[in-house]
Amino acid sequence: MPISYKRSVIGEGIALTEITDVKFKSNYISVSFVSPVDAKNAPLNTLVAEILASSNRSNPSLSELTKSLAYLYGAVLSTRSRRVGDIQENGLSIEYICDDYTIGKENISVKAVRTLLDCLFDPQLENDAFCEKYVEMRKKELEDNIRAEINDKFGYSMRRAREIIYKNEPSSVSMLGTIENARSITPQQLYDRYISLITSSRIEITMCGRDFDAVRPVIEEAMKKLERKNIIEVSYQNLSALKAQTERKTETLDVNQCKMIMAFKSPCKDVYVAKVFAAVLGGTPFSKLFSNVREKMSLCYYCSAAYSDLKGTLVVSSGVSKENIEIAEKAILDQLQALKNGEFTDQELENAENYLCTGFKSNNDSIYRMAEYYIAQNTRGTAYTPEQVCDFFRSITRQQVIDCANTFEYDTFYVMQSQQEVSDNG
Amino acid sequence: MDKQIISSAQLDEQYTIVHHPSGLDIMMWKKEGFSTVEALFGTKYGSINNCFKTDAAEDFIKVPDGIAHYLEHKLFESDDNSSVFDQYAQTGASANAFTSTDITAYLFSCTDNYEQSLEILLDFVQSPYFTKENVDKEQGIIAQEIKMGDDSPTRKCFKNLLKALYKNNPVRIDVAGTVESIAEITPELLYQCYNAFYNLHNMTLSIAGNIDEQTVLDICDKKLKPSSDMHLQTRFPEEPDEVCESRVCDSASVGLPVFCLGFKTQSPSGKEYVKKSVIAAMLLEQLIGQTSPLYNSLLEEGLINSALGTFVYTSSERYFCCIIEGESKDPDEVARRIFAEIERLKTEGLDKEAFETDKRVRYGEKVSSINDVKACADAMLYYHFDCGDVTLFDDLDIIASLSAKECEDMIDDLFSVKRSSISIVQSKE
Repeated sequence: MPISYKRSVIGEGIALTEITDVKFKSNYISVSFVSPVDAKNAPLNTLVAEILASSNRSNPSLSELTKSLAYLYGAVLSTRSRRVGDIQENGLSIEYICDDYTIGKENISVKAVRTLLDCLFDPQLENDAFCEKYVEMRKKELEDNIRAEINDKFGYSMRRAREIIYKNEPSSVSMLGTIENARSITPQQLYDRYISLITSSRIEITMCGRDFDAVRPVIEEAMKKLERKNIIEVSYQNLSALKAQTERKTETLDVNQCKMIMAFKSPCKDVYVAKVFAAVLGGTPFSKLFSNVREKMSLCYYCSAAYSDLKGTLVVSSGVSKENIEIAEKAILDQLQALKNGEFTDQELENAENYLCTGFKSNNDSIYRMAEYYIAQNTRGTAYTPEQVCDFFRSITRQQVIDCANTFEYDTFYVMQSQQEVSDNG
Repeated sequence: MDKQIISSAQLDEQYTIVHHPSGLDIMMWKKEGFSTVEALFGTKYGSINNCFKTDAAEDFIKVPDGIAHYLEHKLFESDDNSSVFDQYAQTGASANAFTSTDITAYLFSCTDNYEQSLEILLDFVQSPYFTKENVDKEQGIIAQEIKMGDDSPTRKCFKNLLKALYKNNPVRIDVAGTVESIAEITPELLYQCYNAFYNLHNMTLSIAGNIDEQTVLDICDKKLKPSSDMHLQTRFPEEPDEVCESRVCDSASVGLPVFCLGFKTQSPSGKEYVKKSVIAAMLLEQLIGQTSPLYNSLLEEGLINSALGTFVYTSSERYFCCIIEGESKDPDEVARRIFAEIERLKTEGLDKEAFETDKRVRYGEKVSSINDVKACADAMLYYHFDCGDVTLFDDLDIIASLSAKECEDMIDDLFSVKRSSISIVQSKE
């Protein structure tokens, strides 16, 4: 049976996307509050989602909530907090097994969905604000997470680079904020932010899996109860402005391997052409960057390119030895220039298109990836199937790729390098 | 050709095992409605297999640390200088490989042309081409990979834990080796390892998704090069029961100290191994899983955060340890509290309601896992290599029949404080 896709408006600023595919044995449902990123609200939004995942009025402690979920065959309730360009999506998701595959076909789907909705819209309150115990616990976790950011050297260097790449833009804002800010947040402030999110933010609900007839009315009913007004519209696509000169920044940290990040910006509006360009340059294990900079020149362990259509930005990241930084930067720029000059074969183009098609079509085989795929489609205001996107890829010509490559200009160079003077091995 | 069908009426799933005349075991799982194909061609060979003998040699040989992983990298090279990735590029498949302590596998994922991709996989894994030049060239890339791993405090912490838990067992050696040990690798050594471990009698092909079983078998008939059994023997040093060090501390750029607490025990084989693994996972849940009283107390007191996780790190007959890892401002206090909770569970027994609920969780996890073609292909390979005759549906019966008493009786063996080590990585300041 084919996959069916349906998108409907079920309340003011509330959209429900249903993706049905009977081959799956479990279901995934996410509910997100969608709002523009700003420095003040970003950590509050993140914390609100964490607090909502801690308890609800029916399960007033984290322990009781976790036990309820465990009883539902280990249904997984997760926070869903992320930045998409200049937009923030915060909310919760639940994954649970289909009723047909529980022991004795026990009905758990409605219970699982009610648990999700209770967490989102019926939180446990104290004095008209969130329960202080969980606010303190989640604030402490936020502090821990801010401190622990440095543990992941790749993620940390990427965050530092973003601050330069997207200087003065919402995309440069940290989702976690600072420790001082985390400490100053009050239960009342969080509750006010929560009320503002459920009242005025856009709400995106995505269901992926099967047998939604029983759960859809439960969701619709919950949405009807919300008082919605002054909905804040969001615009996902905000191309980042190119700097007058390439900005260069080097920082030092206790790392063994230097992390080098280069950003290029373009006004190109054709997302699929830009994706093919990025794949030919550095998006595959046979790309220009991988086969030349890593394999032939042995300059880095990883060297890849990723393109954000919402910001019009291509980011090339690589792990290099300190003594190879200069030569690796030049090698990467040379590969980009080669593409601009049209120095790639038809076979290379076809291979990149095939690789992208495999990635897009394989979204069909995962409830989570399929949901995320259509959420990404929605940021572009489209609902193409993966197969339709593959048809676009296959129709792209080499001249389109060359023209697209020539729109990219060098914007930012960032390197996080080791403290030692000379690295001991290339 | 010997063919066996493994099925589960409860899960409405089945897969097939074929013992191919070439010596290779082939596992196939057709997933109705799915469009991807995932394949792994694996050998029961990893970083712990560093001392071995076959019919080709008189005596055992000891090879440099990290050679299994090095071999994995080098197998992607061919004598006509064409890259395997370039061949896959034409079929649209996404290809990769990995080396663990006890398995090396080469894999691809695709949505079209799986037949051609399978031919590429079988061809290149059976065609080694090692020269001094191409072996030397890899040193730099692998040195970079080793350094990248050293930049992860959690990985550093876990590696230090294995060194603390084990005195002689080669699990204490890093899979990638060291910058120094990989410098000793030569084409001759790579061929010796290849000829010993990449014999089809020591290998398995696992393929799942949108496949036709007969087509897979026809390709195998065409591509597999029959090999005679070389009677591979591996040798492992004696490992004492006691740990090497009970506490190790290291420093790195970390915002909050990270820790790994491990409990070491003996690793059995076959059904006993699978059962012990299930019991270990269920006891970890009772001890410090998200539903446990200890987890919730430590979380509310700010001694742990939601980064805390548990897992069972095992290889049949080789090593077996229960691991608790996380971040804490005071890892030693967390360890003290865990030790006290172990004593409490020994005295008071398990929470029977929580134990029965956990059985439902394990069942749910199994159903969710078979939603994923890659997870199905991975699981067939792991079970076949690690679990003897136990199939990947058998653990549902093992879980269903397990009693709380059986688990309680295993606490002493699985969570002996005397056989535990804690590894901590904290900030230099």
